[in-house]
Amino acid sequence: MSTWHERLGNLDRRLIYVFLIVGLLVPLIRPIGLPLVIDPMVRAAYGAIDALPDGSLVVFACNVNPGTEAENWPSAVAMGSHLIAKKCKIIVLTLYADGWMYADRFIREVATPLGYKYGQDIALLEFKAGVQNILAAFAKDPVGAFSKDYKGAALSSLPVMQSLKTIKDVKMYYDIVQLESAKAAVAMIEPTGVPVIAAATAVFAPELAPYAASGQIKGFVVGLAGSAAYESLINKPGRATAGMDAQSIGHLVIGVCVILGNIAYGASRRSGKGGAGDVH
Amino acid sequence: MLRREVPVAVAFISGAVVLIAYFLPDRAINQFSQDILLWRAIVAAFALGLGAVNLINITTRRLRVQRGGRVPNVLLLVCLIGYSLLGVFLGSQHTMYRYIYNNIYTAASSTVFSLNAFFIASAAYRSFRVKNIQAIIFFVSGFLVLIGQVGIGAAIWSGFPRVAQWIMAVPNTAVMRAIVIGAALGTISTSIRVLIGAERASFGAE
Amino acid sequence: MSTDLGVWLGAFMTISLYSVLFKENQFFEAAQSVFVGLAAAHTLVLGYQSIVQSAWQPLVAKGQLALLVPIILGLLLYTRFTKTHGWLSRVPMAFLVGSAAGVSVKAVLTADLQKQIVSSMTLKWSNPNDFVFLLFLLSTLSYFLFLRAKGAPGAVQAGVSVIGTWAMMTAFGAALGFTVMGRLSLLIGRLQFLFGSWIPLIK
Repeated sequence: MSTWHERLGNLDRRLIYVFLIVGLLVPLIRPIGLPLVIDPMVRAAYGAIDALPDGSLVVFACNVNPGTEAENWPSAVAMGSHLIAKKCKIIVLTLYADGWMYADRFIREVATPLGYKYGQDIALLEFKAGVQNILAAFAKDPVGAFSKDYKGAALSSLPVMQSLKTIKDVKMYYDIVQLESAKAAVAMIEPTGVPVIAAATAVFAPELAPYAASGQIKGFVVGLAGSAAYESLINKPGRATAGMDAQSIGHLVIGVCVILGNIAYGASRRSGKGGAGDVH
Repeated sequence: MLRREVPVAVAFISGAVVLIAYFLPDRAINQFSQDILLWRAIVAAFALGLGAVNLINITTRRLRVQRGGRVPNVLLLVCLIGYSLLGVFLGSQHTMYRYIYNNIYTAASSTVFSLNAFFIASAAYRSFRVKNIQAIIFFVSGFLVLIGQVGIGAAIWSGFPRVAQWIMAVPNTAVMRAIVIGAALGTISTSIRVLIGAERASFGAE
Repeated sequence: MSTDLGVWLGAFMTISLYSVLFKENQFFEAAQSVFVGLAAAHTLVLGYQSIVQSAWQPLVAKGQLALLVPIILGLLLYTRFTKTHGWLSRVPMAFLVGSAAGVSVKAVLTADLQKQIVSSMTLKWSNPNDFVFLLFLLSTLSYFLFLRAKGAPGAVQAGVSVIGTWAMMTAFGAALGFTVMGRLSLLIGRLQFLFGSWIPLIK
């Protein structure tokens, strides 16, 4: 007959999955109203955009992909809206095949409804494969690196591109990062004197922390929590804010799983039957 | 000899020109370096199709050899070839292309990545065992960061966010900086080995 | 419930893929095949578009013959699928790897080495946070680079190693925390779609 700690340690994983789904779903349907934590680096990113003179030329590297959409799309919307509120001229580029579709979506769903005209206020550059080499070429000669926009029109025909002659005309480089694109931006763009701010999925946050600490990245919005913090700074709560209560409860669920699993393990070891739920 | 030496020479010339251009203000070298960087984008664009071609090869071979389970393989080929033709002939901005991307592909891709959340929960329950002092430090640090980043931590104790920020700013950044520096030294040595032809395995040479 | 076909298609894909959590089944295999096929196709389409815009059109319309070089190199990549001429694909691979190596050396030299080391040198041992930072930095570097101080007693070496290990455990624990956070966010995004757009329970 199995003991309580053996039953606890060998709990069906499907029950754990149901526990997790319920734990996330309940606060989504009935929000709790937990406070938001605003990280200093999110404030720094907000401050960097807010300090831009109106009408500044900004390059927005939209490297969102479906695997990071839940975390990065809300920050693209929030930070993009902030740039638009500052009437910045935005040149969008993307270094990944998936990012291209999100860049197009940003123009149609965010910029255009806020009154931006394609070609006049915002443009999306053609997609070119490669990350470091593209940013290296762009930093050296932005006009020579790209000749067309995503529709095939010559960049010289777009009014928003007229103010871009050298990289020094860019007042900020805003990157929704994949790890490689962040390192490339820090290596290629930042040394030219253009400030870099980044929005990253939480998984990359620890690896990009050294660049934030050394000042190579001026501001940093991390994951869903960072996106929600930015939404609160611009007073436009959106999808990220709506998901934060669920995020909190989800973290608690994981913590409870670790504690329960270790209780079962500890009890099994003390009873001398080896560790319950040990994976071999 | 051609099979061994030509790739090494190509690697050396392309890498050396790009590297020298950073240090020399010579206009011709800089222009050539810029050309190499933009040519790389074109070659990389060709490389993007390699995965699709390889997938077609493997799937058709599987269809020839396998007896059962043909439906997923046929479905894969139909989607791959059909969506490619749609994009090539109608363009990736066509309504139909965007529709399939935004409604089917995005949903599938997001879901596949989100499956990890379930596996993490299962691993947290069944595999994360606190067996020694290092594991205790590992889990305490992880727990403090987990709790400090979200509202429930701030609601329980106002100090949790500050502790989480300290862990990120001091221990995490210090260790990651050490890893970045170590990795940088490794990258430089590997890159120089590639340029001088001592590292040929990376482009398939013996 | 939503009446948008696109939302229903997305919901069907989502639930089919999630069904593997309970049991392997044909819906999951079909959804997985669709996903893989579409992913490969999308990459191929973007690559094709890039080649046409960046190489073919300038070559044909503006007569930029130099672009024949990357076009030929790119086509040589596909010789890897042949038995006799497969070695030719090493040439474009060498070009990709060589140019990347050239870019990498300069990139890591300034961004990863110089600026990170200079940033560390501005810290002060007298500041408690900086002291901990420098201690953890140096002990971790020592651990990774197998540095041994000549003439140092074994106890000092062992102590540095222990501090380095504890520092790494703290950092990796933080990385675990962020990884959990990131993955849960993706699941929250899917639940917001299923129960916000498809079955509107979330307001």
